[in-house]
Amino acid sequence: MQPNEPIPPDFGEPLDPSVLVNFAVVDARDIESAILWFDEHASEEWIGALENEPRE
Amino acid sequence: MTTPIITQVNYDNSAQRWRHSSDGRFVSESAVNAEMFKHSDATHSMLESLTQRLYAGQLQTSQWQAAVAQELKSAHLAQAMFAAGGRANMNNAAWGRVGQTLKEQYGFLNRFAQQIAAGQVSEAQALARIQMYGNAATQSYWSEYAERSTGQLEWQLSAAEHCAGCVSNANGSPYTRETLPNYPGDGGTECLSNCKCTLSRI
Repeated sequence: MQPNEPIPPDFGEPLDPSVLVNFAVVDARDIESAILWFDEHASEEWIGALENEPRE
Repeated sequence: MTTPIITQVNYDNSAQRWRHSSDGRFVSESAVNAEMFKHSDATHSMLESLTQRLYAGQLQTSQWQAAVAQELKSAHLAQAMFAAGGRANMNNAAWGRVGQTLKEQYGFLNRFAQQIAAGQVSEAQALARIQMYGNAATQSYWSEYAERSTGQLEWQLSAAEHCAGCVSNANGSPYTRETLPNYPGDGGTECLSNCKCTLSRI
């Protein structure tokens, strides 16, 4: 490496692939988080929509 | 005293459409799709921010990976529930479909992270690639939408520029859920996860 070359950043090691394989399993806490996520980004009229009981 | 949240829309299971709670009018398809794309844009913004922080040295690769994975999980689950008409309409099979999609996306993410850690990806390249992950959350919306469709489906081109694959899909309409060649945003057309096309039940 030449003296004036920029030093590439050290990003550190990635996660072991098995970590995300296990993380792909959906549980109740994930569902609650997703509903909160939806409401956080929803237009006003859609807030709470995912929790409303559907009509038949 | 907290202010109760008054939801202004309800899902009609018979019609498979959202209705305005106040007067029962259907919410237009374009309004529903706009809300879906709004959530997709939110995911994109978060992933872009995380990637910028990674390259600014504020996050390590593993932290970035975990945060991206969490954002993707929330986005995919929420979009699937939105397409289904809410949490009450989801079942184990539907949750399983999202889990499978996440497993596939996380496989891509693992390889992406390995390349970043090896110094093989510039910031510009990383920002371009992470955008595709954000857009791919619409895949969970459309796969759930199609899965629950018992009649015909029409592939509708977006107003934006579209690829040859999407034009072909549109020309091949209508489909059933079994004959649909792919879902918008699932990578099956040249525009990959940037696809802004939509499906419509006819």
